[in-house]
Amino acid sequence: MFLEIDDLSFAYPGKGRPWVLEGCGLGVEAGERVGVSGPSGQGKSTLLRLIAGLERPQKGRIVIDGKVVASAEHCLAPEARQVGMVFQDYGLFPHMTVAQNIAYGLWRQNKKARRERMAAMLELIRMTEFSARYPYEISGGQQQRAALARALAPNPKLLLLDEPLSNLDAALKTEIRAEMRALMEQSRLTCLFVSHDLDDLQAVCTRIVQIRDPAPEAKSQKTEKNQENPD
Amino acid sequence: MSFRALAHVTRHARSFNDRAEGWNGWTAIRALAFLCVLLPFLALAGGLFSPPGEHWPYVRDHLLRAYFTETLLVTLGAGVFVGMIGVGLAWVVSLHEFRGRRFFDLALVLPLAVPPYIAAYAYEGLLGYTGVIQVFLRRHFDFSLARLTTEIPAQAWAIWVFGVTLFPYVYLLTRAFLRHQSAALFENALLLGGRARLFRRVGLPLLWPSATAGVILVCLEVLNDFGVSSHYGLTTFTTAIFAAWFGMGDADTAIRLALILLGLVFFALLIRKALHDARRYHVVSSQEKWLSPQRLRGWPQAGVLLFCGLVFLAGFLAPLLQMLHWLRLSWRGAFTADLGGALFYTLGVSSVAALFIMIAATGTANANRLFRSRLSAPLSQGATLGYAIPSAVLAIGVISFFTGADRWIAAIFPFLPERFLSMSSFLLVFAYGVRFFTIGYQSVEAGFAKIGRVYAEASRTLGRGVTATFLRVDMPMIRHALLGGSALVFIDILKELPLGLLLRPFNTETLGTLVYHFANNEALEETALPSLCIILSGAVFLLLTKVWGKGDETHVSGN
Repeated sequence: MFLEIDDLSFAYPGKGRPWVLEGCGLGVEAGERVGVSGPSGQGKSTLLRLIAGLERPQKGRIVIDGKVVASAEHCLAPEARQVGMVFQDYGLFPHMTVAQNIAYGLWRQNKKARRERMAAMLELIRMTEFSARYPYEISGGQQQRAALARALAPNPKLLLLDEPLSNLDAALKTEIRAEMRALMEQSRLTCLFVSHDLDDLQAVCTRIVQIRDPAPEAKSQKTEKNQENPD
Repeated sequence: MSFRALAHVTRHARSFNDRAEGWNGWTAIRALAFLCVLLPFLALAGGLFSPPGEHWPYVRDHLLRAYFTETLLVTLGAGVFVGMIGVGLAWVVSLHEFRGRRFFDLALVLPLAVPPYIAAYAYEGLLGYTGVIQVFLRRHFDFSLARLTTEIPAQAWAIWVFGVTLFPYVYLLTRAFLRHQSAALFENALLLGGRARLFRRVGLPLLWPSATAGVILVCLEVLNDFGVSSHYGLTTFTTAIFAAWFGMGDADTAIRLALILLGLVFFALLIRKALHDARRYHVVSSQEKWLSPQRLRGWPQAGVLLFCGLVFLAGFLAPLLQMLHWLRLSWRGAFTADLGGALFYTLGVSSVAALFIMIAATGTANANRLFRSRLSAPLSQGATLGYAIPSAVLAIGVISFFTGADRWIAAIFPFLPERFLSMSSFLLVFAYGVRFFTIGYQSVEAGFAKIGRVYAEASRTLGRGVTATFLRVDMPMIRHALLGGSALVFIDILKELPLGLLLRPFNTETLGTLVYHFANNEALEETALPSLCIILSGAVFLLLTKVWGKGDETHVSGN
């Protein structure tokens, strides 16, 4: 199993705060594109933040590529996990151009390699002519593609997508879904895609799992059930 | 390497990584900032256990009541006065469109560049018997104001000076609140109750939390004041501390008075919390249409212009013009070596202190943002208490602590000069740091609040550590907040008087202490040039902070 999530529980700091996730488990094989669906407030985004290392779990553990990255005892910093993430509002650095945004994660590489990789990513997302533009100078769809290219550029082991299509209009969504699927297939990356829109997940993912809201009295025993992609 | 040894190294590396998330350079800066504020408090508290000074019984039995009465009278009077001016101006400027509105929106901040003690000297020159106005009236209209000006009590003069120079604290807070109010709220109130009831029934209750926060800030400034009280001969706690320290040579009595003043400050902070909690409104609305000002014409416009103009004249223009008038009279002998020395010393100390404050403020704010723990809130809130401590109290705490520290240092490093710390500018920089940390911290925190955490999180998932993320991503995005915070800290240090008087090394002067000494020696005309240096540099930095404040907004919203 490439990604193993085992009995994961998390609540935001503060006395008496309810569990956002409790006893969550999930396994993802290498190269799989798994969609996570479920209603709002069920902890889908929190699950991604825990995998990325942006939050620390109180219980359970996360294993990526055989390495324990988070458990109750220790938590590896996000920068040490080699996990790429595309945020809901993209998080493109507004003071950097599209090219600088994409090259940002390539700082370990030398200048030549960095330039080549950046050019390749720009070509992949068909945005070479927009490389010198700032995020506020490009459209929402282009911002989404730039964010995806930035996350893919450092060759992460795992890619996390947190509702990356939610800010796009319906026509653009259809176009971007197809592009994303093509990009994912091309890069053969293991990927976890969170969305409340099943159409998004079905278009991009190979398998969909659902976080379901349990009965109120059993809220602390939130479970997830796997469900095969109808496609 | 054996498997066991490898496992040990791995375990060690993991635990180091865990510590790096919980305890690192950023959290260390936060803890250090808290400790710096705590030290003078501890030193003062230690003074409680020492035997009282020989003058204490007399001060307690005969003078303490007068200190209380005078301090409370001036503080409350100034509080009410600034409340009226500040709320009135904010209401008028926010809800109405009139000729010169944009100018006044900027100009009404400028009185903050005038330290109240300099305004007091300027009013002495302007309205005194030999002042411009009285001379003009006597010469041209054979009319004397002498009786009127001498009959006005000193407390009223002090309240006037505090009112016209400190009202921007209330004005800025209430104006900021009104700027982000939904238009629907006021339009509904107008439809239901008419214009007359709008201010009384809707405006005042809504403005209450921001207005009281501003008024309490002014009260803290008044409690901190030494220059105005000393000029008008008031017996407030601050002047009493100076009298006990320098006049009676009784440090223990000064410490006891400082502790009582500190009690008053905490009482003021408790009142602020109670007032704020009692009337805190959250306007629930999805309305994106903000309050738009209503056009004024004719007499109402003239009235508003007169109100804004008079306040601007009283708070900024009159002191500035009086100082320019004095400079015209005294400019030949004004450029002295003393002034040059004071200017360079003030600029040097202010810059160093502002730099340290901004580093500590940035470290604390970033640690609070990224490394939340149970200690985050108490540590950062504790560190911001320094702004509430009156300078005289803080100075005594700092002297008490570092005099002890010097004895300790001398025992360990005998080759160092005697009183290594307490005879240097270190004390002044340290005290400025404790007192003005809050200003820098609030600016940086506001900058971080604007950009949120998503950029920092994106940077970390792209492999950059916390410090690299700050340098490459956060800092460029909050640079205007950093610059604005530095400017505000710099202005406040420039204006500060009591800390300079108590903590500057021998044979050195700050611009503030130089002004004070000229005024104290009845050489009011000589105060012109150093006062103008303070006022004009303050005004320039204030205007720059306004521009920089807008810079970050456009930068982030551009995404």
